Amino acid sequence: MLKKDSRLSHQAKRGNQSAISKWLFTTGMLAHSIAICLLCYLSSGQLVNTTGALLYHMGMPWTDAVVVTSMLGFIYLVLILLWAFSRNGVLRTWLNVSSLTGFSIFMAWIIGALA
Amino acid sequence: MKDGFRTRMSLLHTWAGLILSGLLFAIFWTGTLSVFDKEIDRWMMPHTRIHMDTARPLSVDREIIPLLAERAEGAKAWTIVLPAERRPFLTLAYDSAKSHIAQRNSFHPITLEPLPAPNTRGASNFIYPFHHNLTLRQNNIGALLVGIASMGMLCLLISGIVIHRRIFADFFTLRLLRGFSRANLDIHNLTGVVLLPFTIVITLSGLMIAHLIYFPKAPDAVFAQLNPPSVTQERPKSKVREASRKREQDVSSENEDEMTDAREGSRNSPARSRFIAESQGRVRPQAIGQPANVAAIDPMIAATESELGQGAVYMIRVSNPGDAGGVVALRLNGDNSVSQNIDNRRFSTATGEELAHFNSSSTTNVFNFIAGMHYIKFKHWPLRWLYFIAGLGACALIATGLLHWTQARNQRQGSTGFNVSFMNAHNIAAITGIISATGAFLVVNRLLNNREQFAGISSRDLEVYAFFGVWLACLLHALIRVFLNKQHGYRKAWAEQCCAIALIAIAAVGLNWITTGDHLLKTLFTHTYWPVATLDLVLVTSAVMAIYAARKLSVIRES
Repeated sequence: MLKKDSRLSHQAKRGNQSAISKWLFTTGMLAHSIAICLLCYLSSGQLVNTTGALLYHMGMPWTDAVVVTSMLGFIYLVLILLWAFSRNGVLRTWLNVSSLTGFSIFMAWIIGALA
Repeated sequence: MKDGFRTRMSLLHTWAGLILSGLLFAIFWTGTLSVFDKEIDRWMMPHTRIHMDTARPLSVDREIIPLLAERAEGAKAWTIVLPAERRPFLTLAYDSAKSHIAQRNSFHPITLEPLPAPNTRGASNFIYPFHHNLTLRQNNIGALLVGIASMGMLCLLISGIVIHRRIFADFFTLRLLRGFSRANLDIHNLTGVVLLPFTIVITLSGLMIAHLIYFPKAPDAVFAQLNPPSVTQERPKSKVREASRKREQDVSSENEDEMTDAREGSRNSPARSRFIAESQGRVRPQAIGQPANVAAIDPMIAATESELGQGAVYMIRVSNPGDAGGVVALRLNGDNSVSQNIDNRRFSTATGEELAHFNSSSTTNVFNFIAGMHYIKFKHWPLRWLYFIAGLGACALIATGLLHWTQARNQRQGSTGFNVSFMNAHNIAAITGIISATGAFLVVNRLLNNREQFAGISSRDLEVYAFFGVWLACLLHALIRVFLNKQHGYRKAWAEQCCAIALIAIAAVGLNWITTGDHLLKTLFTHTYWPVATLDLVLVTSAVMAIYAARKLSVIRES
């Protein structure tokens, strides 16, 4: 059912569906949204760690690097959230956000390993 | 593709708004009230309504140290908060051999007579904490919820810009007489456009000042680069807990505590502790075990104020008084600057010699500026009022957004669906409910009139129970009204709760008069005291607006 209604913009088509289908769809979309938000938060957290480490290696004092990267983190998060929710289709959203999360975790791991 | 993007942003705007707006309204409402938290405190604590016009600067050595010597024998730290315009009394805080929890005493700024204990949390200890952690401190759950709502607000603001096709035209459009729906949407668009810089800055700064809660691993990740075998691995967990426990037991002023909690949460890893110490200069001096007298503090204040200006010192903290390793830290107020002032002046307790003082880096100063914009510690009344008005505007933005969704569906399908009825009840409880609850908080404060307890329950708690009780009652009332009459019940509920707000506001003003004798004519004209007069005037204005709204809603219902 999620596949059928995978495009958020096609909600109007659900007019003739039963009440249970609508509730299932809503619950599914809610779970999807929460999971996507968590993945976005995870990737922004990893990007914060990576940026902080990079700033430190570029010569910034470590406390300043923490302050700058933490402030940037909120910009990352809002941009990633908007980007994630602007994807066309549930599958594409998952694919894109998962890729970004994987990439950010990999980057954070590489930076950690180089320390 | 362009249309598709706009459609998806529109869906995001709708759903994020529906899910988060109730919480956002509560956060913005309490944040707006927190702009005048000290003034609300004066209203709720009548014994602190003291005119500072005739107060002279106090001598710490001659007048304050003897008070501490009487009360704080064996304390590991003294905190002295000097009287100021918005906090017109002297506060002394100190621990004791029996308990690490700070005991606080307040004193009249002129006579130095002890003031009665405030049996209320006031705005500083309830409305302000509610704003940043919803008073849910366990594991920072409240702060995390506030963070989720704030991030949602940022997404709402940006998606709102994307879906707004006529952003420039709407700046000049306000059709208040073209029916409720049109006027409501115009107000939503207008407040959204006009207040956009304010809402973005206040939301982003609110998130940034609590970065250690929302990105707790950042200091550890960067510190691991600095010191690969990592201090985090060297120290056993018990030490971490011990450090955390000690920090929580610290004796500090109430504002400092609140701001620290808001920023850092309650648990610190070694890297975080070191980050806080190095970036903000918060280092705890250790006692060395050699007894020594406390050197004169007045010359330390005079030296600091000769450099930075009269009244620059607002708080004195003496760590380990009576020990040769003790330190006197003078904290500087931020009256003349938007940026938060964390550059302390430090002196040796034993010799009075100036020690190296902390200077924050340029990057930390940027952070301090952002934090200062949110905390509003500076002394500038017109700007403070602008913050208040902009805060109310942001509340109107959120409320009109919620109303737009339900109003469109109420007109279209007669509000028969469960989701529309639920949102109608939610909106009423979220908007008029919290306003009524705030009024009830004030009314119960005046009914208890600084009594220590009532019916075996402490007054401090009763006020909070009244707040949540009235909020819950408003929700139940809205649910009953809406679900009993899905067609028009919501209008009845709006009208009745508006009447309740008017009644509560008038009752608060009346009770203030009866219990303290401070009626509006007195506080405005004969014995002018602006904090109380202004709050009374705001309450009267709210009552008039609520009556007007209730009358308009009744007319719509009858027609």
